[in-house]
Amino acid sequence: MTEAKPLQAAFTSGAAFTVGAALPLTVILLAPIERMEYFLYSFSIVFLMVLGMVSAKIGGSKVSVAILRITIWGTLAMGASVAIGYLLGVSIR
Amino acid sequence: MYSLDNYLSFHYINRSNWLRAAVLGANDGIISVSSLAAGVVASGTSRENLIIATVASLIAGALSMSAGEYVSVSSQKDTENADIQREMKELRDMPEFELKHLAKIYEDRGLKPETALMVAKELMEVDPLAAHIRDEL
Repeated sequence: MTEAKPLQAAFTSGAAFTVGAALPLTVILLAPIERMEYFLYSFSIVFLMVLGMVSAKIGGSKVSVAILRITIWGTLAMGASVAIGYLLGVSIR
Repeated sequence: MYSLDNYLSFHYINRSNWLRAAVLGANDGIISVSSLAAGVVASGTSRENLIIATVASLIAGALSMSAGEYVSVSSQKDTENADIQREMKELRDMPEFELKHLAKIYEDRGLKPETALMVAKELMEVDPLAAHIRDEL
C-alpha cells in the first residue's frame, strides 16, 4: 500500500502545471501573432517530448516509450480540440 | 555499489507518487493552455488580450489542479484510513481468524502451511496491525 499524501500531491501538481503553462505563455509573448496557432502547436509537441524525456529520466524508465506516449496522446488531445473548434466554425485562418 | 543498507537508493518506485502528480500537472499545463491560447488566437484578438487570457488560464488551471489533486488524493487516503479502522476492529474481535487469514496469505504466496503459520504468528507478535495492513490491504 502506498502512502497517500494529499498536500504533497496538490503542491507538486500545481507547481508542475505552472511550469508547464509558462512554456506556451513564453511562445505567446515571443512568436509572431499572424502565425501564432502553428507556433503554439509545434512548440507544444516539443515541450511534451521534453516532458516525456525528463519524467522517464526521473523515474528511471525507458525514455523512448515515455516520449512516444506523451507525444501521441498530447497531439490527439490538441487535434481533437482543433476539430471541435472547426466544427463550431472557428476555423484557423 | 549495492549493499543491503543502500539497496533501495538504486530503485525509483519511492518517487512514483510525486512524479505521477508532476507529470499530470505539467502535461495538463502544456496542453490545456496551448489549446486555449490557440482558440483565443482564432478569434482574431490582439496580443494583449491573448496574454491576459493565457495568464488567466495559467492561474485558474494551477489552482484547479492543486485543488483537484488535494481532494482526489484525500479521498484515497480516507478510504485507506477507513480500511485500517476496519482492520483494527477485526483484529480486536476475531484475532484467531485474523491469524489464519494472514497465514493463508503467506501460503498463497508460496510458503508451506507450517512456515506460513509460523511467519504469521511471529509477525503478529511484533505488530499485528502493521502485518495486516502491509499484506492484507
